[in-house]
Amino acid sequence: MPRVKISELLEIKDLMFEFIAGREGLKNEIDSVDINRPGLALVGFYDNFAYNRLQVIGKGEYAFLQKCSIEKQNQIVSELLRFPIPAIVFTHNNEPPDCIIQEANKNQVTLLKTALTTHDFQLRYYSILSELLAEEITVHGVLMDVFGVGVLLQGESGIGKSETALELIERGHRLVSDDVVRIKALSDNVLMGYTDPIIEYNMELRGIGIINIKNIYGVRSTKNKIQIDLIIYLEEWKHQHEYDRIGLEQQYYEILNVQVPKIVISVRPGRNVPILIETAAMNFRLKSTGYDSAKIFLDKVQKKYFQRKLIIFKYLYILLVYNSCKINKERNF
Amino acid sequence: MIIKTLKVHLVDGLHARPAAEFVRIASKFKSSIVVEHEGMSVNGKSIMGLLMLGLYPGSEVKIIVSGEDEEEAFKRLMELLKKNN
Repeated sequence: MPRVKISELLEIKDLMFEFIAGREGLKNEIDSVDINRPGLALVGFYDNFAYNRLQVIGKGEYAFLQKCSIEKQNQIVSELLRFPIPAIVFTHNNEPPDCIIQEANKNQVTLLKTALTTHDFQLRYYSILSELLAEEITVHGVLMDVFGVGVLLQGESGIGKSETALELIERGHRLVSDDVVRIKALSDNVLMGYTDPIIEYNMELRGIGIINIKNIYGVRSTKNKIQIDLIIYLEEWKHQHEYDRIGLEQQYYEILNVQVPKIVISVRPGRNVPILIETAAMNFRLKSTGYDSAKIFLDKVQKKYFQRKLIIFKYLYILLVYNSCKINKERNF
Repeated sequence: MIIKTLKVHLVDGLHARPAAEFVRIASKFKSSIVVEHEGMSVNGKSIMGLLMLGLYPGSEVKIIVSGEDEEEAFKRLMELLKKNN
């Protein structure tokens, strides 16, 4: 499981940290996205105390500390810092009491403050940490933003992924990463794809060599990360292979325990792959708004079939009624 | 499947030129070729992947070759890595 150092957290501007004390504690590591509000610990209840998380002193805890006498504060702090706490954060820009500053320096605990409210701080911390602490893998492929849909192009080497990506960029879509894509699972249904800082927007084209997309096509042609919505697998056209002709059954591919919809597109002369990818991306968007073209079309066909059946039934019914009337008439007379 | 862990002995590591040579040889074969280093695994047929690994002299890599022509592919790759030693 990945870990984050406190010194790395300090560099994240969004958290608006200000270093106060405990330089020794900067090398402490955090392995949990959760924070802990040490309210119970402050009143002396230490059962199940989650000391290995970031401890956040909000308005409530701060008010409690302020109410305590100096002696009481000393006692609380020395008891609290017996635990190997990675760091303590004071929100609302509250100034930590002197005793905690001295103890923090002694006990290798970093003391920080932030101008954010506790609620705001928690929200930002969760979203940033869940990204930093997520499990990561690298896959071979090209990741692109096509009409806002994160499309991961995969396929054998030499099938033409980079060339297809180039055409898509030319059409105004954005490149995230070529050849090597780093993927993190942010939750059990969200996969985020990133570029590697070394590769960053470089692309290798057979015959030309390595080119930099951002410098050639400008800032609009690249993006640093995108959620992966769709995998498009490019393969050579196989004569005997049965390709999906209707699109009712969705195939999935699993990455880091997340199921991602997958489409197989075959490559052969005369098939314009970039436009097929654009169409697949648009169809994906349409589906996610609730309109499934294939399903609605087939429903229409079925409706017509039922209507025809109904007409036949109506006809048979009329015939039956007519006949029975006839029989009745014959009987009456 | 052939798996081998070895150290890179090239004078400047697996920099652009040897990496290009590696990819050129790897691409000739049908077998899948994966290179692993420090928990990252990349396709041995992609130059960007190999360069991203940033293999310096002495770094340890795991090479995984699997497929119908794996023996021949592995032999050729080893020849390349040894030739430059």
